[in-house]
Amino acid sequence: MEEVDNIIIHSLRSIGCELDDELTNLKQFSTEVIVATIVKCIKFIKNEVELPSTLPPGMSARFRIGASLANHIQDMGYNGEIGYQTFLYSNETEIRKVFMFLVEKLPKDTTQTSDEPIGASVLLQRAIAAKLHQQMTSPWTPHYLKDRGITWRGKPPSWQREGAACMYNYNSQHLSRPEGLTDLTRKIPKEIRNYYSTSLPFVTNQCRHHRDTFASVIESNTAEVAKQQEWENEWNHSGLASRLSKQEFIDKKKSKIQKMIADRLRQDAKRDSSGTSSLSDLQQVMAAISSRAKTDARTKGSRFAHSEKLLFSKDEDASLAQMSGEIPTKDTEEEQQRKREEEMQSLRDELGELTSKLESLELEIKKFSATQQQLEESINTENRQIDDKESSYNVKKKTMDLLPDAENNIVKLQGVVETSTQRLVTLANKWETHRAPLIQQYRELKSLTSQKESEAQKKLAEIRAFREKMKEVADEVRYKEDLQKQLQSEYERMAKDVNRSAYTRKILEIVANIKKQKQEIDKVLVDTKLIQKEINSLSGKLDRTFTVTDELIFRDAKKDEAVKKAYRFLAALHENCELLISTVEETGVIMREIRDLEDQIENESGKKVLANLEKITQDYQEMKKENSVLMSKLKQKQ
Amino acid sequence: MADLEEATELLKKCDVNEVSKLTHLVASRLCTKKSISFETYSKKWTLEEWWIVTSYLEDTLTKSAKNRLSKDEILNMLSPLADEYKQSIMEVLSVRNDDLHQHLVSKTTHVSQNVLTDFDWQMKLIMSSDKLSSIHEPLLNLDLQTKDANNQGQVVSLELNKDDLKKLITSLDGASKAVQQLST
Repeated sequence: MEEVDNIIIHSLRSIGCELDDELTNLKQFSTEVIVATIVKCIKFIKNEVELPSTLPPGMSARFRIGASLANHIQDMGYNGEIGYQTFLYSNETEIRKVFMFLVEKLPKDTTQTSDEPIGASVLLQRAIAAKLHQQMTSPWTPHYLKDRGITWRGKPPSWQREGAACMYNYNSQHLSRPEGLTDLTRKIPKEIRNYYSTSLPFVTNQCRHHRDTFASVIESNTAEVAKQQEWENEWNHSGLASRLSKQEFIDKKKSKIQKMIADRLRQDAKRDSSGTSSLSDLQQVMAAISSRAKTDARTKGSRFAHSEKLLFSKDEDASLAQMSGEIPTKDTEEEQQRKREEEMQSLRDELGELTSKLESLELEIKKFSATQQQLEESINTENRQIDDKESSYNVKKKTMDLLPDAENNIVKLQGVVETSTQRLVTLANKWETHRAPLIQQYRELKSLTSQKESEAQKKLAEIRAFREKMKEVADEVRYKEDLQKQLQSEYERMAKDVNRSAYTRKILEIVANIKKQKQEIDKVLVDTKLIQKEINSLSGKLDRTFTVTDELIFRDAKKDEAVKKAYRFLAALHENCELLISTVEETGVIMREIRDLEDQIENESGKKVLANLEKITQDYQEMKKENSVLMSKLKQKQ
Repeated sequence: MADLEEATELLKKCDVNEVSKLTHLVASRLCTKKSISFETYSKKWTLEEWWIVTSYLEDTLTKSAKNRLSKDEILNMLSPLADEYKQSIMEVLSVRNDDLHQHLVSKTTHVSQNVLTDFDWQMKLIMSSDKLSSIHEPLLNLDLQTKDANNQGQVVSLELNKDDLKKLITSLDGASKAVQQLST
């Protein structure tokens, strides 16, 4: 029974009953403890039960609690006998039965959840809930007790952040750090080494605000990782296929991009120069014009320079006039206003004029440049024509020179033509002789290269496959590591439930014991059966011998008186013997009864009847007292 | 020009090591906008002189980094200084030239008026509201730090749920594709 008690006590502790460590079996449970634990169990099984967890002092209240507890347990489906007396005047076996029933009924979800792997979202939710609970329960503290919102408290104390007062943006900045120090074979230039050792500030000092340091470090690290990944990706995709070394590939890409940018810039520049006068273009044009105007002003005195001069001088005149006008006359404000407006109007008109002039000038410039281009083109074509004509003229001149001595010249020319054809033929022959082996070689080389190409392709495919495999294996390793971690944590969580293995071992032992006992019982049964058989056969033998002797003696008894006597003795003997057997049987039955009774006595004495009786009488007295007190109160009220 | 002469005069108050250190600091300031404390130099120069000196150094550094000047050109630019000073500033320039150039390039390669300088995000999980006891909807707080043509910073804050974030990402993808098409 001790194992059962242990299991019960363990599960009671696991649902949060406060039991003394010394309690090891149910016999030691006092009434208070029993009631408290049963109330806890019932509350655990049915959530919405209103029961006091401690025994009230009043006897009638106690009785009521006992009755309601019994009711609850019967509602749950308890079959055995139960009543208020089960709890108040406890007896070990009944209480054990009740506890076993309750422990079986306890919800198993707490153990189930620990068996199943918990989802990440649930874990997160729980963590949040726990944190919130902790923060809700902890008292408010003024801000000067928190260094940037961080405090050390709670139960058990831990670092935590409270409030949002000290939040700031996660800004990152470029950090510079010494590079190339790991490679000892490469020499670092003296100036750079000097810079690293004397002037380069620590990473913690490089940011504008110290709080950005963390973000910057993380950012630079992530950037490095991302760069590496991107590079890996690209190298796998297009880098390997190009069959260049890494450095070459990088250089090629760089030059490609630079070329692209340059092309784009050139295009844009062309578009800018060809027209589409935007605002910035206008500004540039104006600046160019003004600079040219300044340089040209002295030599030529163009209209533009004049106008510019005019503008400036007028401005100065106007301001002078304004100044001079203001001081001596001191006109009324209205007049001044009018004057100013007039001036403004005139200036505006001038400005309009000038801008229109400027526009017309621009148009002219454009026209001029267009005509210039046209002219340049025509010059080019003319030049080309001149060249053509010159060459044709030369040919014609030669033919004209040859004309007078025509026949000789024709013969000469034919000779030249023949020799040249002959030479051509010999050259062709020579070429043929050279060509054949060359072509042979070329073909061989071609086939070789194609072979090499295909091999390289194969190797590339292999490399790619290997890389993929590598990645897969790495992924798998990572996944397995995660799994291992999870299982490890689960295992650690499970290890707290020490009793589990002990229980199973004990259960196995008990089962083995029971098997042994069963075997023994079987043996005893076989023995008793044997004995029964023997008894039966003996009694049959006895009967048979008795009837045989009875008949023999009865036959002789008619003739002889002595035999008659003997017959009578025999009958008496038989009777007596039967009586003896029956008495023996009776004593056996009585012995059994006695044993049963003894067992019963033991049982009853186990039920603490005497103590309970005393308790009951005490409680009865108390109840009587309470009743009398109540009666007296009632009387007083009346 | 007067400033230049003044600055060269003022620089003579320092020894060579200090000049190189100061030049490094000015270079860092150009790159990261981390301020230099005037306190350490307050004994040598008045505030006005300090400004002259630092702005002179800044000018020199930017000029050389901007135009990628050769060694001779830089030496020519620093001609009023003594040789050792020249040498020390040269050294600093040779080390920091790339950094400065990078910084200047990134400062001027803006596509539009308003440019994104940095961004920051926070994940938030709504546990519940006054109507629903459990919602469990994640929300993203996205802060876009932009800068306009006048170097005026501005923070644009967005609160996005899952769908909004997906929409934003697809539109950004589209934009990136458009840029890539433009560049090829």
